This record gives sequence, C-alpha cells and structure tokens, in this order.
Amino acid sequence: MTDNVQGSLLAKFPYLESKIKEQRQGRIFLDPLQKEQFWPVFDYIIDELGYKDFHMLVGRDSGETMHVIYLLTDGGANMLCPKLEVEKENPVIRSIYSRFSNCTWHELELVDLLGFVVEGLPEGLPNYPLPDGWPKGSHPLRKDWKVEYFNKETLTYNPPSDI
Amino acid sequence: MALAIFNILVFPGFLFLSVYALALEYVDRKMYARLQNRKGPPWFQPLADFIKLLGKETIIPADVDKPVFKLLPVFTLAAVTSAFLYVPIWGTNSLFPFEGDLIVVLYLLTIPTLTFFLAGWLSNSLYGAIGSVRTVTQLFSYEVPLFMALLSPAILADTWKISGMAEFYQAHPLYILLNLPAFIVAIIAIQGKLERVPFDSPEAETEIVAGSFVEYSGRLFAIFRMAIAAELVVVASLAGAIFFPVFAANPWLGFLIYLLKTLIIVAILAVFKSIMARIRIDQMVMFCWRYLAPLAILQIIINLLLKGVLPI
Amino acid sequence: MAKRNIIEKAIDWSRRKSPWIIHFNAGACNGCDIEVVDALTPRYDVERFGMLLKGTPRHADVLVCTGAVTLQTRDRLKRIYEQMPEPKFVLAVGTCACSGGIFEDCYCVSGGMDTVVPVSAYIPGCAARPEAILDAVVKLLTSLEKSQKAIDN
Repeated sequence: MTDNVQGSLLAKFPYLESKIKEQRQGRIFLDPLQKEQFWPVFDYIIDELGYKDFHMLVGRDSGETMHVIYLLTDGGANMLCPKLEVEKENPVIRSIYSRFSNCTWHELELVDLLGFVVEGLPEGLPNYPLPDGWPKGSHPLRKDWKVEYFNKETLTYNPPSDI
Repeated sequence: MALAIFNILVFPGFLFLSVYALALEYVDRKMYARLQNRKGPPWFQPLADFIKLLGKETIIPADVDKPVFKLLPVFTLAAVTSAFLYVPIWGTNSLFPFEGDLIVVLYLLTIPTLTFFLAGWLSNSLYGAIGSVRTVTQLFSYEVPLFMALLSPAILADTWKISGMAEFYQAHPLYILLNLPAFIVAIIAIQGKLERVPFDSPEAETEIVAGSFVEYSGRLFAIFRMAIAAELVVVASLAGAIFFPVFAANPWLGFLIYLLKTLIIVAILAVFKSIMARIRIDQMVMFCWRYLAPLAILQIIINLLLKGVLPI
Repeated sequence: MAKRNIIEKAIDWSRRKSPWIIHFNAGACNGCDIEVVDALTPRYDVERFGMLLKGTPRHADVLVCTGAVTLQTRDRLKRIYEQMPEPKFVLAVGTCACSGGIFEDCYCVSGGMDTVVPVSAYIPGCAARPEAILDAVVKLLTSLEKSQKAIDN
C-alpha cells in the first residue's frame, strides 16, 4: 500500500524526489514545500489517493521559516502528512475551510498563538481562548517569546531591548 | 399554668421537638446510607452539623433586606413548633385540642413553604430566585391533593379535631381501610411538602446551587435546617395520627407507639428517597394535577357517600 | 491562655466531625475531578466522616480544588474562597494544584493553588487516587484535633 503511494506521488510530482520519508508502516511524511508546489500535492492526496479524512493541523516555528503540518488519514490506520513552509516575515496561508469545515479551531490556534495570517476563514469566529485582556500581537508559541519576559499580573510582554 | 409552660418548652414542645428532629434526621440519613450499601453517618451527626453551623460566620449579602433576611428562619421554626402543639403524641389527645385544629395545623405547615419562597426571593441571587419560584410552583401542585387527602378522613369522622378523628378511628378501626386512596395520596404529597426526592427540584443541588438557601450561612442556616427537620417530625406525626389509628390509654405505651409510627413513616420516605430520581417541575405539576388530585377527589366522594350509609 | 470551656470544646468537636465540602475545578484536565467525584460515591463513603457535598460556597467548610490555576480562573477562585464563611480549609488535589505540575511555566498558568489562596493540605498525584483524597481529609481532621487538644494542655 505504501509503496503504491510513494510510486504514484513520484510519478505525478517528480520534484518530490527524496522528499518522501516513511517512518514506519502507514506513516508517511513529506518534507516542507513552498506553497506553489504544496497545494497541487495536497489536492492530489485527498482526491486521488483517497486520504479524505482531516485529522488535525499543527503549526511550527522553525527559526527563519514557519511550517504547517497537515495530518490526513484514509479512514483506516494510514497517515500521510504534507508540510507547508512560509517565511516568518510574511506568514500568509490559505485556509482549508472550503474543504474541511472543522478546521476552524486549528487555524485559529495558528492565528492567535503563532501569528499566521489565514485567509479564507469565515467571519464571526471567536478568538482562540486566551485569558481576558491578552495583549494583541503577542504570540506565545513562537520560539522567541519567553515566558520570563511576560508579566502575568499585568498581562504585558516586556522583552529586554537588546533582543 | 406551669404545666402548660413546661409542655410548650420541654415536652412535647420545643426541646422534645428539637431532639426528636435530630434523631429522625439521623434515622433518615442512616437508612438512606444502608440502602446504598454503605455505612452512614454516626448517631451524633445531625447534632454536629447543627453546632458547627451555629459556630460559623454568618455572612449577610450587602443589598438584601436585613431584618427580614434574619427573621425568616425564626418564622419557619416558630410555625413548625406551633403546629406540633396540636398533634397527638402520647394518646388520642394533643396538648391544646379544639374544634378545627386540623385546619390550623395544615395552614401552619404552609408557612414554612412561604418563608422558603421569601428567603430565595429576597436573596438577590439568580439561583435563589429560581429556587423560590419552584417552591411556590410545587406548592400549587401538591397542596390541593394533600389537603383533600388529610381532610377526607375528617369528613368520615364528622369532626375537624385531630383528637376527635383519632378517637373515632380508634373506635371503628376497620373504617381506616376505606381511606386507603387518601393514604396513598398523602404519602406522595408529603414528599412534596418536605421537598424530598423525588420532589426536591426547589433545592436541586446539581442545578441551582442550593435553591432558596444559596445566600444563607452560619446561624441562620442552622435554624433553617432545624426547621426542616422539625417539619419532618410534625408531618410524620400528623400522618401517623390520622392514618395509623393505634393508640393506648397508658401514656408511656402510647408514647412508644407514637415513636414506632413516626419511624415507620420515615422509613417509607427513606426508601422512596433511595429508589427515585428527581422529577422536573413541569412533570411534578402534571403528575399532581393529573393523578393525585382526581384520586383525592374520588376519596372525598367515597367518604361523603359512605357517611350517610355506614353505621357510626 | 485560659482553659476553654465546654461550649468552645463542643464547637471544636463539631467542626471536626462535620466538614462540608465544595468542589471547584480551576483549570484542570478533569482527571482529578473524576477522582474527587469518585471519592464521593457509596464505595468510599465519605458521609461516615460527616462530609457532604454542598453546591454553594456559603454552606461549605472545605474547598476541594483541582487543576493548575490559569490566569482566567484566578479571580474566580479567589472570589469563591472569599465567599466561604470562616473557619475554612483548602485542599489542593493533584500535582497541578499543588505546584502547577507540568504546566508550571506555561504562558497562561499562574502556578499551583498557593499563589492564590492559602492551602491547608496538599494531595499529590496525577491523578490523585480517591484513597489518597480520603487519607488527606482524615489527616487534616486529626491534625485539627491535635492542635485543639494542644491548646487545652
């Protein structure tokens, strides 16, 4: 089954050469792709290869870039995870709300805790549940956001000026 | 005169009522526990609860009507204690019997329900308001069947005096079997009066935090709990005097029989408490008006017809 | 200090024998909450110690609280503690309530319960077993008895 998946992916998208990592039986991870290369692969995985169930998505701060990892399953025990890479200065991604309408909380987490800008989410969604009075623009899951510089009494973030 | 004061304050008045209220509350909680296959509280538990509550700080919310807030528990206890003076305890005679004291006892037993309503309403809290509205809604449901069930034996006995009823049924013991529907209605409606499971939605802990008593703490809550326990004693004694007409001429034997009767009634109520769940307030209204009230009316009709027929 | 008279001894005895609890979840994962309500079932039978679960803090003596205290529940926990009449005790159930647990330096957690209210007994464990919760309650009551008797002598 997994050989078939790798074979069909490589046949359709030759630029995926050496980017498909099989961790063990039924767990395939793809290396991060830029968004022009990513979205065709994403659509192909869902439509053609049959991985139709959206499990979750996870955001990651990796230094100069930020990644989003989508976990897709085929209804059984097999998982295929493509990854999307964006620049940290301009983290704009497209929402997958049109395909999977239950992605709202995951993408709100990307917006509020990591600082992504997600285009395509519907209007009127609440913020991710952070404490009342959380300072806007403060993204706690970024690697340079340290909890030592955060004042929990006054809810203000004061990094020292040499950072 | 001195004997009257002794009767009112000590036996069978205030002191006896308090002690017996704590004892019956213990019996109720212990039976409930044993029916759940666990050991229950020790025998001094209601006394420990009462003393502990007396020793707690009494917090009164800032924007309630303070004099009324503090007086409501006292009114409840006073009404229940006054009702106890007219219930026969050691024989067929109560302390101060007079023609019509059955009606007076029933009205004195409505006062606790009204004070529970006022306690919740004046507490300036959402949960208190809901609890008090439920108390009054429940009052409208069970009161008519309960009154009819307790008054229909009086119709057959041709007297409004509890002692007179007791003497009548002691003389004609088989006539009490004609009042079986009234007994069924009374046992069910009593649980509504006492706000016990399955009719305890006014004090639904899991829903409305404590119902009417949400802002009461310390001494005031201790008096409320004592009044609730005393209400159990009074209602159980009333039901025992009306529906179990076994009395003795010897006052000591009569007192023992009285204790046995109230224990039997509290045991029946404890069994109901263990096997039933709480019913919703709209289910309560529907149940009382659909099933209990027609049964009580049927009992009154039967008693009126039989009164002209039976040899008295 | 003068020896206490019979009324004060009776009040102390009644406080030992009738601790009413209120249960509050200050940001827990619900694991310790399940154990707390498990301890209130007939199998463990807390009513033999006189414990009753009350809904309102105004009726309760002991606040049984679980969870690492988040920034959002800090004010609420303080308000519930202040609504309880004196004398009152606090039990911190679970490692998260004792010290913050694995969430100690998290961005929205202010730590264990003793950053907000004074705690009488700490019950570690993840989740704390019902036997541990009962053991802590009995130890709290016994220590109360010892301190009351020490005042007498």
